[in-house]
Amino acid sequence: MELVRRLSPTARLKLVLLAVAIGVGIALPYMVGSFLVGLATLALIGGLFSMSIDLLGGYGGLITLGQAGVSAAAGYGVGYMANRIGAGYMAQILTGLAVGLLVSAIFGVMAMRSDSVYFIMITLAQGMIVWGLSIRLNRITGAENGLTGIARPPGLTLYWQYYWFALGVVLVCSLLLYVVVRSPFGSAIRGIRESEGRMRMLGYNTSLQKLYLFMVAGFFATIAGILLVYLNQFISPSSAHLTASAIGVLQAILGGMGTLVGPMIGSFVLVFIRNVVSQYLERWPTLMGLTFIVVILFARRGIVGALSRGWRAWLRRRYGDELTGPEKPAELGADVALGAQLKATGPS
Amino acid sequence: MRHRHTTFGSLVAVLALVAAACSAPGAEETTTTGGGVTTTGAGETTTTAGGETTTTAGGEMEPLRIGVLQPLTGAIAASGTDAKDGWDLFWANNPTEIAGRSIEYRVEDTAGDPETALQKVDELVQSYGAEIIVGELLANVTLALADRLKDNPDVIFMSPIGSADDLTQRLRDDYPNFIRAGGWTSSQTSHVLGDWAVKEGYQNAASICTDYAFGHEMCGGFVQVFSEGGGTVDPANQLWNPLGAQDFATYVTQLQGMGVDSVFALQVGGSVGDFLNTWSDFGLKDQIPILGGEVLLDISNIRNLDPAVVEGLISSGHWAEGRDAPETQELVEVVDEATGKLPSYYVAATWTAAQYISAALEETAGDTSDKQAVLDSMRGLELQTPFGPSRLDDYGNPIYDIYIRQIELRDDGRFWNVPVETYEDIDQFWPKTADEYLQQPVYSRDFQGNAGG
Repeated sequence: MELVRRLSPTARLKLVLLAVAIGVGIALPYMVGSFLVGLATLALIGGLFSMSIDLLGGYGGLITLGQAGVSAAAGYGVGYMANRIGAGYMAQILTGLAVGLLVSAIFGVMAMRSDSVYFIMITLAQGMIVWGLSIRLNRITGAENGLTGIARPPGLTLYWQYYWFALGVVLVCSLLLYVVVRSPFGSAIRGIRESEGRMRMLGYNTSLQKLYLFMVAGFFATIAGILLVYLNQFISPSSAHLTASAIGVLQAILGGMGTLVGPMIGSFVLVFIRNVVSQYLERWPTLMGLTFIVVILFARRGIVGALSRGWRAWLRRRYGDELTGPEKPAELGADVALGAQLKATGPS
Repeated sequence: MRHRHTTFGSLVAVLALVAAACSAPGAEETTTTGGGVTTTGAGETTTTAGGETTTTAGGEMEPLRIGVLQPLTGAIAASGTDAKDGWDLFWANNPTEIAGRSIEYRVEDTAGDPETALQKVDELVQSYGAEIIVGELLANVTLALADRLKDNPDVIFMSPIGSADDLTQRLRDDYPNFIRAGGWTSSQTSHVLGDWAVKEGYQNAASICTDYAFGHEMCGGFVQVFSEGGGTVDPANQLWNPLGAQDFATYVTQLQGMGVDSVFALQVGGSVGDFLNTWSDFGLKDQIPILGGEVLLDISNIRNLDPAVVEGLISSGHWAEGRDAPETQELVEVVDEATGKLPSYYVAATWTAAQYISAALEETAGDTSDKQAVLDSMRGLELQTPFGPSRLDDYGNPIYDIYIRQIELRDDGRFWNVPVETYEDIDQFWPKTADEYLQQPVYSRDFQGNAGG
């Protein structure tokens, strides 16, 4: 296809990998059994959760340690309607969405004027407030016992049905996230990450932009929270705990912050370690910790960053310096621009 | 431009057609049912001419796979490891092949977290093929697991430790495959302590309990029997701390100022040591008697404490490692030799659960294809366990002798719980009848059965 031919090798590779991943994703229930499909569902949801954190952290420069508060609040909204009220599925989902968005709005307003360390601290506190409320409000949340019996909507009850549903939702959300990141809003956010002062001088209301970003990220965390509560058919305070938020951040870092696919990869790696490796290795938490340390020390940009570097090194060896240019973050189209420029000026 | 859209569009259409045309996955999954029947992907079974228990080509029955879920990491790790030890040690000291059926098991770590437990139980049931799940330790995790397993008729869920009361009371019909062999209800032992406290002349008690189902239920058991027997518990004197709390200074200060003559205390895991040390540091050990819930003075939580902090403390329990009976002391010897530690109730519980499985398997001649038959067999057993005599009531919960225990120093410098009084044949409803008891709601933050209102 002409389109594919016009793309740079990097873009072509990305498309191929994406197509393969989606293909494998769709075919997965035919290839493996219910347990692994269940894990894949969990990894997809965790990936979406981490992507929402990456939107704030990697693109906005605002690391949040309270995202689990948002997604758990949404989950509790669904759980409360299902367990305590016995409402229908539409009501459950709408309540979940409403609660999640409300919580991210409140948190966003609280946090929008801060940045860096202060942002981390405020979001940490916010997440733990949700955790604390979920432990205290026995009548609403069931406290430590949690809320059980949260049935999946009809048509989604079997593991493979739910898996395809989650896959579809996550793909749509990923597309939306891609659009957000490529939009003028996305550029403004990256500008704020680079230098908030300069953006303000350009006339941007940076606090408002950060609030919008918080709510957009919160929207995706809400979706992840709702998907998770229907997957587990259960929710308890541990879903809102700092640990859950931290794992989301760690997954994003492991995969590669500032890329959209990195957090998804990170999620799959962690789910694999926690559930498959743990069967054979009693000290699997140690392995998890070591993995993080190795990534921080040797692959700051995460798995995707390391793979990008390797890919560019291979390209350079194959095509020489003209195609890849000086080392810079992988971005779709960057190769194309450089290639077009060279064509115009002719080989030097 | 149209080029791009038609290509993309046709790609989506093709994928949709492929998805629609293919049959649902999982239709050809292999399932291993109990009793040695194996259905392969093509759906073939080997049967003898008489249509009896099928066997694989090797002529042997499939092993009975048991999944064990315990918290091996986290705040409750000490108790969880004990539970694992009890289970391992039973099978190390008893035959693992019963009536021709061999026993296999796998132990998984839940880290004390309900979500992790749910993921692990899925793996044990779907991937490992477990027919019996034994677990967990915390009541909230046990409730989550019971909920996950209740619709699966091919799995028996045994909880020798997790004591969420309602699973064998008001909700027992919702959990037809649940049985508490080797287990207990949270309030079963504290009922007895409430009665004993009244008899000992205590009149005004406060409480400090962990703020979750187990704490609510154990505390409620004490408060109800104590207050109905004439004692007073002012609701304002009932303190609740979060699970995993470490700093008890504020709580102890409050208790000090309440002017009560006794304190019912229940803590779990690491919090036990923190509470008892704080209590002792404030000088209250010799001023206000502690009436301990069983887990507070369980040896797994106090092993490493200074003997002065715990000596002489009173609690009630279905387990007393200092009990002078052959089954109990046998277990103490086995455990001490293998681990260098005195056994806690967690060890005794999983040991007893294994004992029940072993005995039931003898009765059914190794056949576990009919899960209800296995459960019925367990319900009919009367065993001499390390706890003492044990049989199950109509609701699937054991009836035990409950002991009022006191911490005594041994000659080797260690200490243990020795019975000073025994209440015989206590079921989960004592001193009420089942009907009376089930009229009232399960103990919770809101309902502590306080006769004083």
